[in-house]
Amino acid sequence: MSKIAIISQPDQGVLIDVSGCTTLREALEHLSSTLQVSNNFWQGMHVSINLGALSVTPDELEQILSIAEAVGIAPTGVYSTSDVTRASLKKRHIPLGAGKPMTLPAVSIDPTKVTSTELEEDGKKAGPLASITMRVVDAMSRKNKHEASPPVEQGLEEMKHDGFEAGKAESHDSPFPHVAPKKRRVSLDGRSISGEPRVEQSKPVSFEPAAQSKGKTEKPPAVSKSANAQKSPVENFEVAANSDLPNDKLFAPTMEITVPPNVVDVSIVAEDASPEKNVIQATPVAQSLLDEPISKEQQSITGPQVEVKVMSFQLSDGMMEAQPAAQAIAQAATVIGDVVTHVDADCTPDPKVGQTILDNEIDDEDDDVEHAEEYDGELETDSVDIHMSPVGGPTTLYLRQNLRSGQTVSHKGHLVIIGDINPGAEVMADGDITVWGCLRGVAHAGIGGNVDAEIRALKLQPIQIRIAHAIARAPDRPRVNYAASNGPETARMVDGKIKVVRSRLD
Amino acid sequence: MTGRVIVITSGKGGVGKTTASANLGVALASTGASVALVDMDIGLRNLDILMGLENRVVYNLVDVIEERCKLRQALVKDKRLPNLSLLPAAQTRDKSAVSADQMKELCKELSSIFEFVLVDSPAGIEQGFQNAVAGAHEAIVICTPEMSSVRDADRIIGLLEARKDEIEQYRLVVNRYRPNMVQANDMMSVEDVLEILSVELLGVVPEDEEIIVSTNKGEPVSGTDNCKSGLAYRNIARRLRGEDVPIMDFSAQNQTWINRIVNFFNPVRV
Repeated sequence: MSKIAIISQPDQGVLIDVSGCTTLREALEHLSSTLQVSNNFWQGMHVSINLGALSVTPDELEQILSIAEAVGIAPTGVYSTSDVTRASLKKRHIPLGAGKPMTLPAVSIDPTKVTSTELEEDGKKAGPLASITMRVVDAMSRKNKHEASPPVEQGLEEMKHDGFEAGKAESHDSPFPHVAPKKRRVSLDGRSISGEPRVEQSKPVSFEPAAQSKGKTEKPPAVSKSANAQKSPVENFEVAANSDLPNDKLFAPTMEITVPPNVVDVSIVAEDASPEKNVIQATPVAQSLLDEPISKEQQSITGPQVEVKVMSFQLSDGMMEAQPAAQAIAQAATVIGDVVTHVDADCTPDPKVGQTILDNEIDDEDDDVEHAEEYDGELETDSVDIHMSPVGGPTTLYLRQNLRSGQTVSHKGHLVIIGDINPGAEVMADGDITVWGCLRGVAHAGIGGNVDAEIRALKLQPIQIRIAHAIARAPDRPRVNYAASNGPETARMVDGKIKVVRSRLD
Repeated sequence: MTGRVIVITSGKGGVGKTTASANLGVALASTGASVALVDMDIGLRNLDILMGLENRVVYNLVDVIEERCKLRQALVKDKRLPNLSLLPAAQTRDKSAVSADQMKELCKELSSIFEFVLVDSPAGIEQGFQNAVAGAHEAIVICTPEMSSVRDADRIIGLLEARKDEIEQYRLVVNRYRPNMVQANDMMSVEDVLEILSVELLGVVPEDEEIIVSTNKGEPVSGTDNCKSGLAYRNIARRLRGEDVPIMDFSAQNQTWINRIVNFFNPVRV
């Protein structure tokens, strides 16, 4: 637990969790600093407090309550696991919290499934993050398409119709009956996917090894595959351990997979000769993953996030089982990813369907910047649209305070922070995150899988931004110039990539 | 395979544990060994910044221990050296999030995969230190040639000696050494330090402004040439691998005019 966490849900009010504090004094300090800076927000809210294992005497409890009263809070419930505290609560006639306290929501990102393609900064024209793109864990997009539920990309109809037969036939053999395997098809040629849907493209495009589609990359011959796969566990592991490896290695265009495919790590091959980008790696997929047994629950998961939520409801009443759900999500993502690798091998390539987009060329990067600027222009019309809340209702949490390193705020709804988010702090929200200040830490919008969520800040200088299942990371800069600013910027998902656009103020 | 789990510790803060961990990690990995760096300073994580990997961190050590992710998901691969990985600490938690037994298990798992597991210990002798030491077979004690640092190092060595069953070997690195000041009798010499601590010396790292530059850049100095401290760390790495590398001779630096001229053209001779 962090020292203090503010967790809020529309129907359950706000929980102030100080169970991470080890002493009462610490808890008091955190409580008072948190409550006082944001006191406008607390008034009239259902606020409960989780004291965790702290032992609190009646007198000490009085101290806590007086802090709360000073900002107009009468706690609707206090959670505690300590008998002493429970006794004091009883003495003061303060209700014990019902059920289990809310916990921070699970973050369902699998770094091995996510590749952030880092693009060079186009310092003069765009903001520091304007050129960051990223790939989505396409579990999400797959789900969306499969159920044709909003948000549905254009061209979805064709896609469905296009690959349905293959998908169907596949599903019998597939250990994941719900997963239409071809949806995860990824082309190594990013352009063919990222462009507008082309029906003729979706028919078996000859899936050539990377070496042929991109001159810079190499694909080792099949012989070396097995050789590689039988190398020492260290070497295999290193491959698996690389969270920077692109997702595509799992979806590489390999026709027969008996041993894990050797795939070229194209996303880190760039035109400049910087060492980190010049590495061309031939990497087998870790066999151990493929061998992992898959449980029944996992099989039923199609869109990990949504399904798992349902599961967690069945497990207990409500959102109390955040942790198991988190594990299930993480596992589901892993398992789906790998199993699909198998399935993909025999299925008709359908490059258009994959949401996953690969930017392996500098040209692409330039495109992105241009796109970003195009969007910049269109923003006016955009902003007229009222963005429908995915959760509905008055679900915005306002916080007036700076979040410093180590502090976490999460909210099921939109989150507005009047203040800075420093490096090392994390904010998470189901909906949008708006920072009236500087965002320098980690922000995760759309944690429930809402790809429409946006992150905007007066100064957008984050270490990472995450939207739904996508992660974008800041470019590796020798030194971050925190004082510089590009004015307000917004990060949103465009075509499965996180893009940062400058907001027009006029 | 059983890799070597080496804890890097000091007792006192600010003597360069994290810098040493990052540099030794890079130096060892550039000799070809597979290396895992483990940041145990939960709540005050820095190692990722020194390595320039801050923006790649998704999961961390506590997530692994609490089984929210797999070990391989939390390991962040270095951007330059493919055989170097970092297991970052959690920033939103504190030292009590981990127990010694869990650390032992984690170190065991890591050492089955990597040849070297370098554990960056937090300052202090409390639970954070105990956790960091828990899974280690060897220790590197960092100290600067200052009385307070030496005193703390002595305390740490005492604690390490008490764990003789687990820690087979502990060696000393004297950091931020200034030969000039030593010559002017303003600083303790390496000999003085060893006199007090009576422990095996693993290396001496001179004070270097480059360290500050490299920290801000996220590029450990041992990965770059033309830098005294980088060379010192590379030598330490070679000694860790069992090579016999003599300790740098700082006093030889300003002697004869020939030496000076040679040094002028070849500044990295230390």
